[in-house]
Amino acid sequence: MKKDKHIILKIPKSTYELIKKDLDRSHPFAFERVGFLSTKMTRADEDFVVVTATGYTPIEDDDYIDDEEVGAKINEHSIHQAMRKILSSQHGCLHVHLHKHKGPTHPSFTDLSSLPQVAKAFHNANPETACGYLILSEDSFFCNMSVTSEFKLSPVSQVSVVGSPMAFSFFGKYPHRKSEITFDRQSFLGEQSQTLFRKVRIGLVGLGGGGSHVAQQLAHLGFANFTIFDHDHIEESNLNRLIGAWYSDIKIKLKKTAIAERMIKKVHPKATVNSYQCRWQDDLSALQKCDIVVSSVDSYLERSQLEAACRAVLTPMIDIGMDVHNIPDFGNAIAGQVILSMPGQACMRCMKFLTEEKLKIEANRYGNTGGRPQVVWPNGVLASTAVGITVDLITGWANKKNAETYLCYDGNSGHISGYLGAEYWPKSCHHFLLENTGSAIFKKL
Amino acid sequence: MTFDPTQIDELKMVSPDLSIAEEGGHTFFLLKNYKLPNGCVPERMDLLFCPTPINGYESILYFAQQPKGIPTLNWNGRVTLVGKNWFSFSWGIAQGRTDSLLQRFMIHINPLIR
Repeated sequence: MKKDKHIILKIPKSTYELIKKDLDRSHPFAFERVGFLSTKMTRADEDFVVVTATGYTPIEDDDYIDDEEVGAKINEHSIHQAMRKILSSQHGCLHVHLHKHKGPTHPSFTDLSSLPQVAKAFHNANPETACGYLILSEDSFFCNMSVTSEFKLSPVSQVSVVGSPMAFSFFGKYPHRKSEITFDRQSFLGEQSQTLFRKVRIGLVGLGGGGSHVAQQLAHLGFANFTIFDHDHIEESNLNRLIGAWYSDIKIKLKKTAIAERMIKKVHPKATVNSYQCRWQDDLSALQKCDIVVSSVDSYLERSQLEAACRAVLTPMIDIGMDVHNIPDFGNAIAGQVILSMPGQACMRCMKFLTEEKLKIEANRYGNTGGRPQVVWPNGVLASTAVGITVDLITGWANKKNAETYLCYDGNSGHISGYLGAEYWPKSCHHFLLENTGSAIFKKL
Repeated sequence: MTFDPTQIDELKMVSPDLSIAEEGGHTFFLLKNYKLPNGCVPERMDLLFCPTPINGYESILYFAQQPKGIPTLNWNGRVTLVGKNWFSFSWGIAQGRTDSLLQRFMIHINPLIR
């Protein structure tokens, strides 16, 4: 059966706002403005390409040509500059302009007669990059791109604006579904919420005490595209907290992915569950296809790698974790965290959650971890919080101006509060620069 | 992060195709198709060298695969970095050393020598 080809364009929210602000400006004589969006490509597999926007360059006022017959006309100098940049940076380029209306948009007759040639010029500068043209409307997109070494413009299947909240535009044939009674009670999440839940690809890394809760809740919400990773099988000591597990699973050493898939399908039979009974590192391409990843891994090293892999393809990651600490003269204390790692914004290193000191302590403890204390209800609290963040990220229902990115859980008092040091985080991450997304480019020394 | 050009030139003596990339605030040197010490199988492979503190170590040398035919080492690292999977062995280096890039690299290669 022929597989659908997917080209996904992801634009950081800060870049998108820069584009809109620039294209909205008036020009002395041109009716429209034009800009160039730099791109990098990650080929997850032969049928799935993720293109990340790495920067935006407005066209200078002097590079427009006065022509009343078209919305905007730019000179050769601007095209040549873009081509030189493609050659030197090894980033691709999209020609971008704005159609000032709401709703879906399409290329005009003028666009169709001129933009493919511009795209081809960009492609010729470096055929190994993603080049094409992007048209914005007030709230939608149209994009044609060439992502192969042989020039061929193909429509992208999805454009995402990555920020809080996210914005998604899906293209292609998606039959309209009548509202389902199942989800009537959550219609307050927005008119498009169920459609978004059906289409968004959610990745779950780790299906233990935290991840199993997340999987269950997302299934109940109506999420329909799961990619789940866990290399482990259930043991008896997991049963105190592994949601969806049965006692009979222990004897047959059922894989945690099988338990999660069974649970999801029992709630939502039409859900697609792509199950990977391995470490996520062993199938990186599967992770790269996700729109959002929820991390329930159990080490700082795993978090560090997972965050890096997500940031490379502009995928927001929500991390949860908990520990039980024995404090002298006090007793046991449960502490946990829910962290949203949003590309472009503070990462877990910026937040000082991941530090070399912690990684060093963990590395020295390697092989000596033993069974850490774990119990079901704090996992539930953290998982529910993470699911709430996921839903808000997709729907924006809570109308939050700034999404809380680091929540601390005190399992003894039951309080969840924002991390006190948040005001000291950098506004944008200097560990994962937006211009470095996509497949790593090694520069020869 | 920037490095002393002299030290980079010195490292290029063992890897003329030396290249560099950044991820997560770390700088990685790629030594493509590096010739491993005698006895290693395979003889050549890509190496990824991070000369600054990373993942709990003062510096780490990552291998594209775990070589055979070498002394027993604690191969405890399987990580994904710069979009690929890499292997590393545990090799503690004291804090505060002032090795050059090449010296530090050789500290990580020497354990493979029989």
